[in-house]
Amino acid sequence: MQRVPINLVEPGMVLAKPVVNDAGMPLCAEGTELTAALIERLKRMNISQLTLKGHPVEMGGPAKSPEEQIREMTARFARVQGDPIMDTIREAIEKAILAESMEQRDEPAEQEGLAKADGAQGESGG
Amino acid sequence: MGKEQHIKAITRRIQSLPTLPPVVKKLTAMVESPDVTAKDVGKLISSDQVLSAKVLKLVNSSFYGLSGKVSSISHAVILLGFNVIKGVVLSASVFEIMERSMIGLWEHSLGAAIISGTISRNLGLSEPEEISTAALLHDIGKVLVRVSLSEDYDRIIRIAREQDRAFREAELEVLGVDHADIGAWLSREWGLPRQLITPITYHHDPDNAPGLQDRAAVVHIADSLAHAFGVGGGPDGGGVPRITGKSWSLLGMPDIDLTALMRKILVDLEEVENYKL
Repeated sequence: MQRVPINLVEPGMVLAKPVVNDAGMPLCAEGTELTAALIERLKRMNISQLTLKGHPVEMGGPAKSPEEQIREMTARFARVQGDPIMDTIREAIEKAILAESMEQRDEPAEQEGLAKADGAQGESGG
Repeated sequence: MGKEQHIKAITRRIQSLPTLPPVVKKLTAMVESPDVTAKDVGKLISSDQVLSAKVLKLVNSSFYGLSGKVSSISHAVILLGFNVIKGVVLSASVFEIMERSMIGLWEHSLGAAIISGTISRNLGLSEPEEISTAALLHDIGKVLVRVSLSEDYDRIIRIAREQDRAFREAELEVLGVDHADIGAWLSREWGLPRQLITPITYHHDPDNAPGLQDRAAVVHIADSLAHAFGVGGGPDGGGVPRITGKSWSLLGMPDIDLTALMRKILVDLEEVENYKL
């Protein structure tokens, strides 16, 4: 799952979350495969970001590495270190972060190819 | 001075409660009447366009498990019930005050609401929507202190920072009570139902809640986990608060697949971004 500014979204990508407008009205359901026309329509409705399945766009941005996320998370636990329950939670979150990042690394292989291939229109999304 | 007296002293000093839109007062009166219908409530909320947009947005968020499915207020009222709608309307109104001055706290509250929803559904608790709503409002006392007792608030922040102490300890030193006590008073003042008041009041101390201990425990744990995942922040710098052993076992947390739950939470939390009001 990845949040992407709408100008980087391309046809064939698939919504991981429904799109809701400013008035709170649902516009598109989760699982919808985006078409050029649909993207245009969403742009005209002032939707600025979409949540997509997989990790289809390489933004090279500030995405934190799992190691960095874990380091920051561990620091937040400093005051409760040594408490058995809190230690269990910290370990579970650490495993969760690693598992999610592994999955993201596996998943985008096909998705990324799809997004980068010129004119990915018409191809069925992942 | 006992807690009650402290609260009395504080409430005397509060010049004005955060002002709520007239719709909220009408709504409070309306849901107490025995023959009110979902349609009446829907109509009332819809009369305030800004408010109804916010309510729809919140109702369509993942913590109510209805993502993107609700397109009208009356539909929302039928699906979620009066208590939840009242809580949602209140939080939409109150957090507007918060949005300007306390963005981190709003995000923290959203995070706690999402996590409460995930935990309650995972454990199969009844009325996860109400539990999420209680989580959304759990730090409401902080908003009141910030808005209505701003000098005290500044002192609390200073003590917490300079002496590296927990925000709550600093509150107790300055006010004699903490934001949970103040939130309890405020939520009674607003006529919220017990299902919301109890978790708000006991979110630090769920073991002593008189009834509804499971709900207080969920909000207590979700509050801590929101800090753990680093969602939002607050004036308190974001250290993870300790979870009580009793609440942890009460919910049967030692017996569940914790890593799987944390993964689910991690995914659900991506949604916080969508619901910044």
